[in-house]
This record gives sequence, structure tokens and C-alpha cells, in this order.
Amino acid sequence: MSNYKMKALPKQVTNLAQIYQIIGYIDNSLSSKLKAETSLKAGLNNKFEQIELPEIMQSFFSDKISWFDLANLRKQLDEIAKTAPVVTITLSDIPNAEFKMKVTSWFRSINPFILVEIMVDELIIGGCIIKTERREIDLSIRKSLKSFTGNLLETIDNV
Amino acid sequence: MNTLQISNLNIEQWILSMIIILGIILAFYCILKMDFKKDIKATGAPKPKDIDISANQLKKASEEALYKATEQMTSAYRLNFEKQLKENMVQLNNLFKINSDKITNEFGQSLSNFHNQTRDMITSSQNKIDGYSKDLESEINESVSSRKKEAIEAVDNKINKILMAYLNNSLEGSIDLSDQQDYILEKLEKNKITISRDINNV
Repeated sequence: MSNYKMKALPKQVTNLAQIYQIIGYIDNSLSSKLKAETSLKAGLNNKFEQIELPEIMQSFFSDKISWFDLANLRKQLDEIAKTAPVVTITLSDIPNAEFKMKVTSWFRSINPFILVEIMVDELIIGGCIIKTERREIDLSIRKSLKSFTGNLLETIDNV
Repeated sequence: MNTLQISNLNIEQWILSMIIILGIILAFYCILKMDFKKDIKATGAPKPKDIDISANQLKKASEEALYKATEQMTSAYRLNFEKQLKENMVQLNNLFKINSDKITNEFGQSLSNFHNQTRDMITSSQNKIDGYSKDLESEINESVSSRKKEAIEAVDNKINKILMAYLNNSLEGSIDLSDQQDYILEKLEKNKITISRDINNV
């Protein structure tokens, strides 16, 4: 009997929506499994039956897992959804999967269970804006340009 | 005590005058009686003509005496009355003077109190008005400066947006996100400590 415990969220799982998607899948699987059983005894006997995982969940496990591990995973994911820190990163364009994973990996180096929400705002031109629970850190090109131009009205007055 | 002594004649003078009158009447009576007796002794029997003369004389004398007594009494009474009246008038005058002074003083005092009260009210109202006007002025100034600030910020933002939109349009996708990867990761790395502190609530 395995006692599956996560050390970190996989890179493919970046945000809260994905976690709830996985939880939803696990709930459906478990409930349909229980319904399929004719008795509780039969259910217990089949507790260690190995099951196939959908693609997203394959990031958690490299191999097949048991129903017990699945229930355990569901519990841990529920805990992560409630307590994990969330950071929002705003980019100037929609990132590809590779860039998403790179950014997520960078944040996971700080906290292994951190969730990264990606937003898009063209007006920042480039760079990014990081928003944590405490503050907003503007690393965009727009801010850099603003700091160069200063108060535009004053500038216009001086012209 | 300021009581007027009006219409109370001096009793002593009244008695005195009455005594005088009675004395006079008595005197005449005695005189008349003695003369009449003398006449009777000398002649035996008074003659009717002599009796008439004596009676007339007596009558005249008594009338004169009575008149004199009346005059004396009247004058004494009048003098007394006048004296009393004078005294009462003086008292009344003094009373009136005292009361009028008192009333004048009270009136003057109340007038000056009213004057002071009015002045104080006007001063306090003026102060309140000054206070309100100062508050109003500062409120207006604050409001004007905040509105000015808001307006400037709004214009600033609008101009910035216009500039950014122009830059975006000019660049037209020349800047790709994939080109920015290294730049973004570099920026993240520079701010790692701050971000780490915020994320881990340290």
C-alpha cells in the first residue's frame, strides 16, 4: 500500500482551475467506481486496483496508481487549493506552453506549491507585472517608459 | 418709614383753640352778668332801653369774639395743614427722587447689560462666521486641489494610454513574447528576494 505524498506540484499544473479540474475528475472516478461495486466488501477488495490516468494527471504519477492513492491525492489537492499562495503575472501577449512552464518553474523554486495565474495586457508593451498578496511589482516596459517621460504635462509646458 | 401725615390735625392745637373760644364766651357771659346786676342795683329795675343796648353790645361782643376765635382757629388750622402738607410734599418729593434715581439706575443698568449682551452676541456670531468661512475656504481649496490633481492624473493617464497604444500599433507585434523570455526571467531574478518574501509571508 503506497502512501502517496506530493513534494511539489507538477509544472504542468499551474493554476487553481486545473487543480479543481483534477479534483472533479477524481470525484467522478471514485463515485462511479463505488457505484459499480455491488457491495462494500467488493469495493474494499478492489481498493488497490490500478487505474489509468488522464493526461493532466499523468504529470503527478509516472505510472498507474491505486484508488487509495487517488483518494489520497484528492485530499492533498483540496488542501493545496485552500492554502497554496497565488501569484498573478501579467504579460503583454499570450504565452506558449514552454514559457508558461519556465515561469511556473521559476516560481516553484520559491514555493513548490505556488499557483501561477497568467493575465494578458497589451498596453504594458513588454516585461511583466507581478501581483502577490501583499503588493504589485511592475517590471513592465510601460513603467520604464513612464519613468523616462515623467509628468507629461510638465514636459509639454516646458516645450 | 415714609408715611404721609395728611388730615391729622394736631390735637393740642385743637384743644387749645377750643379752650380759647370757651374762655372768651365765659368772659363775656361774666361781664354781661355783672353789668346787668349793677344796673339792676343802681336803678332798681332795668329800663327796657338799657337792656336792649346791653343785649346788643353783648351780642356784638360775642359775635366779635366768636369771629376772632373762628379766625384764629381757622388760621391755626390752615397753618398746621400747610405745614403738614409741605412736609408731606417734601417727603413725597424725596421718595420720588429716590425711586426715580433707582429706576433710572436700573434702567441704565439693564440698558448697558443689553448693550453688552448684544455686543457679545454680535462678536460671537462674527467669530462663528469667520470660522465657517475659514473652514469653507479650506474645504474649497482642498476640493479644488484634489479636483485639479484628479484632472491632471486623468489627462496624464489618457496621454500615457494614447502613447502606449501608438507604440503598440507602431510595433505591431514586432516584439514577441518569446523574445522577452530572457528579459522577463532576468527581471524576475533581480526581484527574487522581494517576491520570495511576499510569497512566503516573511
